[in-house]
Amino acid sequence: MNLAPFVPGVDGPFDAAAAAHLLRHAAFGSRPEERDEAVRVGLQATLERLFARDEGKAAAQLAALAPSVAQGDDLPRLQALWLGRMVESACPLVEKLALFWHNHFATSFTKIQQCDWMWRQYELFRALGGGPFRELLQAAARDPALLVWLDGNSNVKSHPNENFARELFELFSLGVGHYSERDVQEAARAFTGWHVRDGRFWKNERAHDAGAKQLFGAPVEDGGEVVDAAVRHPACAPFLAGKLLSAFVCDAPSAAAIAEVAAALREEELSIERTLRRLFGSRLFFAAEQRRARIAGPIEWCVGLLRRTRARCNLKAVAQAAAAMGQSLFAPPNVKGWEGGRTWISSRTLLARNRFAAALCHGEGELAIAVDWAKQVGALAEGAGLPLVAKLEALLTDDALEPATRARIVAFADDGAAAGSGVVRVQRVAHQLLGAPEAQLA
Amino acid sequence: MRRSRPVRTLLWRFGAAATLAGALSTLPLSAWAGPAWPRLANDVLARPAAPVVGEVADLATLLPQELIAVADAQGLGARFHDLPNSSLKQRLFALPAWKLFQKSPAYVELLGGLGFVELVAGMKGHELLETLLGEQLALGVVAGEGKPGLVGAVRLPDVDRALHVMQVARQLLAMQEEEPPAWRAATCGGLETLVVREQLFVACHGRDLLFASSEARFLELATAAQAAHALQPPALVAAARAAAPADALLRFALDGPRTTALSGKESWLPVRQEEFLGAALLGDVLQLAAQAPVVPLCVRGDADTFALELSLPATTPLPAAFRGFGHARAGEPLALVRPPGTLLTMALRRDFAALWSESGALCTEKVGADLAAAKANLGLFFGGRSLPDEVLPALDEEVLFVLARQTFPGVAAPPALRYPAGALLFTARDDEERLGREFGNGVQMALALFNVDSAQKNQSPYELFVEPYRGTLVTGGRLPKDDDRTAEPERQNASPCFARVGKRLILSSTVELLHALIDELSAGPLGSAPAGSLTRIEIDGAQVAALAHEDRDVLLSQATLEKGKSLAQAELEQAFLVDVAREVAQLRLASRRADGRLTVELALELAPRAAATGAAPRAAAEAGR
Repeated sequence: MNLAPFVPGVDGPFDAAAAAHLLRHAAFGSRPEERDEAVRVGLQATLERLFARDEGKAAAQLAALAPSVAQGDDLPRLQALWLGRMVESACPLVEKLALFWHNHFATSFTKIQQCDWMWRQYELFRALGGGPFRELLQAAARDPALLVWLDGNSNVKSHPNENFARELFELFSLGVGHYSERDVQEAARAFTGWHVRDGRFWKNERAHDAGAKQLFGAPVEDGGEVVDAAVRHPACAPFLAGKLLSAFVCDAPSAAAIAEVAAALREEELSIERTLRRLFGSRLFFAAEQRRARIAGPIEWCVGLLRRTRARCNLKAVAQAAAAMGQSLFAPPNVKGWEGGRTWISSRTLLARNRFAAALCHGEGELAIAVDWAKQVGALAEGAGLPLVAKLEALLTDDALEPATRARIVAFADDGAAAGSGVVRVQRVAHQLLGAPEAQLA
Repeated sequence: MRRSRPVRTLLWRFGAAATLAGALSTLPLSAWAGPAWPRLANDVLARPAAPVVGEVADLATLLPQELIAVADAQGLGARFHDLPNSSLKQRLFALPAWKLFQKSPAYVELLGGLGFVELVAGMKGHELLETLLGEQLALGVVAGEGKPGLVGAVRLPDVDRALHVMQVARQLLAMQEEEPPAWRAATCGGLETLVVREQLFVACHGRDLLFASSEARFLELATAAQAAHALQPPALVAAARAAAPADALLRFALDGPRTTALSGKESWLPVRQEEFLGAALLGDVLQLAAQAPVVPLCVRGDADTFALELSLPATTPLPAAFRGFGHARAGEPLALVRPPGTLLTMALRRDFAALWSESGALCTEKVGADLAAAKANLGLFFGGRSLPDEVLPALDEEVLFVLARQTFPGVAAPPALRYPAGALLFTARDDEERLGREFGNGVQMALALFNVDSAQKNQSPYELFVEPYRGTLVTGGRLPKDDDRTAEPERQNASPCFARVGKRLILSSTVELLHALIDELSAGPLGSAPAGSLTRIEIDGAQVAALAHEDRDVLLSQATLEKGKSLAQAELEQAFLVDVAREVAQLRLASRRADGRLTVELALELAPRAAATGAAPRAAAEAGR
């Protein structure tokens, strides 16, 4: 298992299941016809399309509303705007990468209280999220929201505040164990005076400590050099590799996989896009053990279902539903962001997922979701249970069900008293399906 | 069990809307013209109406005496005769939003439904409306077993058209393919009757279409029609006619005691309100309507105006609870303010101190608790003085309120969501200097409290000021222009302030509006509402359109992010709102007391055609005002 290119026909087929796997991880899932199209054009062409940056008219029109939405402090509307862009975007990988970096540089509105700043940070992740990591980290270190979040304005020559420097190493670039307390203190001195004024980055020279500093055994002057030193550090690539694998492949990547991706990152000069291209086109990515090896996060899960069903809904309410599932956009729980993996599932969050599924299937509650279920399944609404379940399974879960789960849901669909008839039956079967454990996996 | 059928779905989904739209339509449906048009035949429609021997002169005389409510109209159908060439239709079709609508799937669906209905009816939409509304219309609601019943009659131009309408109804019902069938034929009272789901009995008697919701009521109606005696119309019809002006399009009346009995409540109207301001605004109307033996309502209209008018007896002495509504001083002039950019202006003759003290009779207990809390809290703003006992009694009965668009003078980046500015104008009975000082102190106290809240949220505070304007001292606060902190949209739209001009005390949400009001008061006497006015609320459509245009992005984002609409749909609806508002010169709610009656009018005046046509540039100009 390695990052060598996956050759369809040699390493395995690039069939609907493989296409679905790719589109679940590099996008927010797919409809059956999108998978068919991916298979038709082949892996390389599909990768080209995934890395395109034209988000399409609908998403662009939504984004144009940002100046009015981002003014003030209405977080739910801001969340809804990003959600809407994720749902409408023709280049979902850009949004997924932005979501990845939002979790990486976890900054919360709860402290910032400025929608405008949060939106600008998100736009930064969209613009630089696929590029060289150095550029992104340099820009993030000057981002007003991140600086205020990590007490940058308190970092002055007389009293260096170590928050930003510590998180730069621990959470943004190296991970624990690859730096000393002395490195943190010296880096904090280098970042003194990196402040925010009038909503913009401002290097406050009077508060900056211009004295000599040593970092990782070499002299540095200001924060920019600290960022460069962190990016050059040998631990940076493995740290990033682990995070990329967790977010885009599996919840618990192996040490060997991390080493492979880290090597690729170094070869690609820490270019995220070039590395992800190699990853998504690799044997490692398409290996059987990587399929369904990740629990979909709430945002990813909700957006995926809205895209698959072409639903119209109250996006503010969807944002709140995702928050109830454990992921409130622009408001991660702490500087470490969302832990993800198995922590996405608890009795409380599972109940919230079920409520969302109920709203999606039955159009109930504040979410006001409108799905044309009759159109989704056509004549199958009135037929036997198996074809109906198969159709919905393909639509909602990429044929994820285990045989036993499928048999249970088919039996339900064939039970007229329980499932009802017509559209109601379709809605109830869909709800059963979304409650299955397999439907929570990516 | 009913079975779903495409035809049935199509028909009932779009039928009603399509009929109305068809009346306005000039759609190029091929079936409309030429020999293929399967209409009733042009000669039948073109035949002049002739009186029919053996019919009552006044259809209302067929109605029973024990009516709960009645609707009565003469010549209503003729109003639709010229609809295809009417200015209303031309205005609708000229709207940019209509052009957008024509590109939508809903328009195609509408065409399908419309064409179907017209094809079956053999008439264009407006002809169908004209026929169905007839020369006379009399419709009554009567008490029934468990629920009210319906009884009525429509006089069509001639027998052929009456028979044709019956035939079309049978055809449409036959398409329902329900089991059991939706209709049956019967003979009731000697008339060939169409019985629809056992809930509607319809038959022709000459050119009159008779209908009732029960067989017994229908038999009474048929018997009366065939007897053709020259009876008096029911008292409720007579009352409706007596209360309405001669040019009324439609007259309604409701029997208060019978309706109350039917409702099983103390009164058919909620006379005690859930909100104090609602009670202050409409309490007298609701109380009088609840007590009136007959509540008459009429609809008036012409090419440019449409109005609903309610006329209630209001003879003295009125109950004590009415003393706050200003009836005793109804003869005195009531001022109106209209500064530039006025969206809404309201003038009330109300004694709020009296309304407060009579709130127990006008409002629910919950309101009483709310007022007690308000009394305790609002004293803070008046230096410990009691609002209901000391402040309000010092104010005159004339209360003015105005909402106006803002232009944000000197603001480089106005807020995305522009709220209109609002101002309240009170008049001091006496001691205006003391009152003015206390109002000014109250504003400063409120701003100080806002600033404490802002500081807790790390938001911009209001900077307090006292500055002169045209010889008047203005007390208030405004947000600093160069603060890196932002404020909530509500605060970005506000610079709360106060000024006194003579006896007028002005509380305004913005300095801009306050200055405009001082300008207006300095320019001379204010405009006034018509004599006898107790309430007058005017809304200016062009200004509403301009505001909706300014807030376009915010409205679109609300529709797309919170209501799940596509951007195209949201844009269509927003364009429609703006277009329709531009066509409205004024929407007005007014109450007047004269000749022992309280008249309430809700009127819509369309903008003059030339003005409406030029509304787009005008609104744009206003937007940049």
